Amino acid sequence: MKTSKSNTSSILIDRAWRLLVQPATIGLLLLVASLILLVGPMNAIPSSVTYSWWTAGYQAEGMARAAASLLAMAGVLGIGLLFNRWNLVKGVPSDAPSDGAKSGKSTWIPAIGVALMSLGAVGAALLWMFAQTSISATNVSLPVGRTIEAYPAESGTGFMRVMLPSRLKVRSLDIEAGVAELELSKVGEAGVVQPLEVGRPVDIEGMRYALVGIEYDPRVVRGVFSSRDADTISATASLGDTFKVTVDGPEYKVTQVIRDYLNILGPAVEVESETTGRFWLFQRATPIKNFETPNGLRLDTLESAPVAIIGVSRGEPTELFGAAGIVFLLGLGLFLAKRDRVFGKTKDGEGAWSLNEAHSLEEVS
Amino acid sequence: MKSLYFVILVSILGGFVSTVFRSEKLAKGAGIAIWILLVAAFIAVQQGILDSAGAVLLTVGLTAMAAFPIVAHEAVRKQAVWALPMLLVPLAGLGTITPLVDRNSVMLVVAALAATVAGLSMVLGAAVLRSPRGLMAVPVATLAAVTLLGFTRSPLATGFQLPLAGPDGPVYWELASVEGMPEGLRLLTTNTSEWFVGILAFFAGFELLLVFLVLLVRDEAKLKKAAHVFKGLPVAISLIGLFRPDSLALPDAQPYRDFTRLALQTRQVDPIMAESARFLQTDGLTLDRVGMRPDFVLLAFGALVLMFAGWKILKELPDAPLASRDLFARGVAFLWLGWFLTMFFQASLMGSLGLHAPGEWIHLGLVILSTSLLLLSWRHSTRIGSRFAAWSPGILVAAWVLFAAVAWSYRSILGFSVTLG
Repeated sequence: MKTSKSNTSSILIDRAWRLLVQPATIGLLLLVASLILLVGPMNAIPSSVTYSWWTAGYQAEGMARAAASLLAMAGVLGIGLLFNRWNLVKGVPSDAPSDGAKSGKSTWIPAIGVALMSLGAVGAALLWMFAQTSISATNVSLPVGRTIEAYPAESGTGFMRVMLPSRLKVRSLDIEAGVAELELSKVGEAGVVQPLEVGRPVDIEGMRYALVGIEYDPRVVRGVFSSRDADTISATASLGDTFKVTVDGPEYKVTQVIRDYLNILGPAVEVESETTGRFWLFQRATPIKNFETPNGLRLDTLESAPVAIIGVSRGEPTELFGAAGIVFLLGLGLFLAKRDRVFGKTKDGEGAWSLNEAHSLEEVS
Repeated sequence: MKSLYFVILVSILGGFVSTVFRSEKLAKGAGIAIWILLVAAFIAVQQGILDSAGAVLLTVGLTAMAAFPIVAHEAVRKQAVWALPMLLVPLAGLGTITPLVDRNSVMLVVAALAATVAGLSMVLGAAVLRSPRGLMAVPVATLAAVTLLGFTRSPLATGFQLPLAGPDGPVYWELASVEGMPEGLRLLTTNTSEWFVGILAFFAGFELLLVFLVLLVRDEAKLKKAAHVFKGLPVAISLIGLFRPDSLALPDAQPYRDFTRLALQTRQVDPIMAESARFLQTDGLTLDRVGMRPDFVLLAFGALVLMFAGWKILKELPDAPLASRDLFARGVAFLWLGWFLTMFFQASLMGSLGLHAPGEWIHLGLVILSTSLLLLSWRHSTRIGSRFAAWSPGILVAAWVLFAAVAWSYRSILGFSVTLG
């Protein structure tokens, strides 16, 4: 029998379609994509024992792109699969007997559910994979009072310092309320104070800051200072902070904080001011006899200082991801709402489709 | 608002309870009612009327709905109901590990974990509906996970390590703040107990024997005879319960001191300072039961799965491939839901889609792996498809269990970029 050229190619396309548009083919593509995601990060396991690998930023642009293209291919083939099903359902008369299970008109709901779920899931996963190709978000632990002007971010080859548009400082931290006060300042300018609540990220100058958590880290300590002067105000300061104990008195800077000096002398803090230079303050008795601290400065006690964990990221929009999530949830609802089984005749003979059907223990191919 | 919670909760409970009745009409009505309420709840969460507690209810409700037709059908109900307690075991373990500061996000974490565990329980249910052989990967994975946790518990000691606790909780080796290293050093103290590890090994050996029995005995009648060995499982479990070490000794301080010295040297501090480091508690040390909780949960989970397999063999329950596939599909849908909720948590807390961490890569990798195995086993009457359909649900649950254990060994929860204390 003679076949024309166009006929041959249409048969070829038909064959390719039947070969490719199969659950197993899509499964195979997804299997490779998942292996990339599962095995890829193993390259980055550090040789020494550390707990940080699992949660530290990791970047492999090439792998993320490879997984994304496989996923996209699988998504396209998935559309073909649902198209096949639609063709099958179209040929089923609404009163077709199908051993008690529903068929025909009422069966589109779970299939639409699956289509929406796939759309949402593939879309969200693709968004996630493309997000992996940019600079990662980083959690920065910031004790109250410490100022930073850059944060470390993973960049494929190692950590790199990402400059912040302004210098960042945590001015205060209310642990009960879960609120931190950020101070953003440029060199030589007065800072802008921005309150930051847990669960409410704030976008400033293209960066997004989020209060991810508050640690009461016993390892970070601050001193509580006062002086023997009558008008003293007690002040707290951590390493690197400056403080005053009288309104018009000198400003001191904390240069060292030690819990137990030489393991016998107890808590000690080294402070420095322009007029006095550096000197040590001890909570207990001074080891040097007849040593008078300038202005009668005293170290009352050392206490644990709270540490704010600030998530810093380039403020990329997450709305699209949220939209994908809503599409997925809608699909999930439709998928679960109805049982579905379709029998029909196709060109190749009897065909059957079953989705979300747990009512029968009978075999359907 | 509280009344809304109440209505949702009651409807979910009602949904479960109504499945007990045989009337399909009643079950159907309850299903529709739950569906309408859940849509309302979801809109309420979106509009901010409900907080993230609503998200939890939403998840639980969807789970109820997902389990619904399975439970409603009499022929399958008897099997599926048995799969439910298995869901509770890992949940009980997970419920104890949400130490995040922000109380609202904790609810979202719980919802995400609930969705994931619900998904896994459905995949497990899919394995349960098939031949017991497909289930055997799960107990093997739990044993591997316990071994992994034991061996990675301390970076300073080799072998299976047990966490120590004194009257004031876990025991730490501590170096107080010194000049040049103001943050000091704190290490969790572990030690081993040969006879207790021996008991664990005995238990593992017994479980492995059962696994090989199911895998190797092909003759159904012989297998049924041999399955009476499964009755020894409760005895083996109670061994662990009865013989817990009541007193454990402190480990040799030398490795801890060496490590401290090394840490000081890298900070260019005189290593002599390491001499002041010490164990914070020295008397009345026992096994840290809180620290061992994941291990016990894993052991109990593996044992439960095995007990179920044994029960299935003895009762000669039938193979149900289609119902199994359906449950598998639902499970995969819920694993995706869990991933979405995890990402929502990351986005709401950090304002970004996570930290690009390996844990996040592996989480999404597992979800896609689940989808791919589902699709590969979809045509379960073909030769390759039937192999996948019979084995992949069990292997999938095993993979999740193993990676959850890896996450835990890095002091983290699978999918969440948080390091626990």
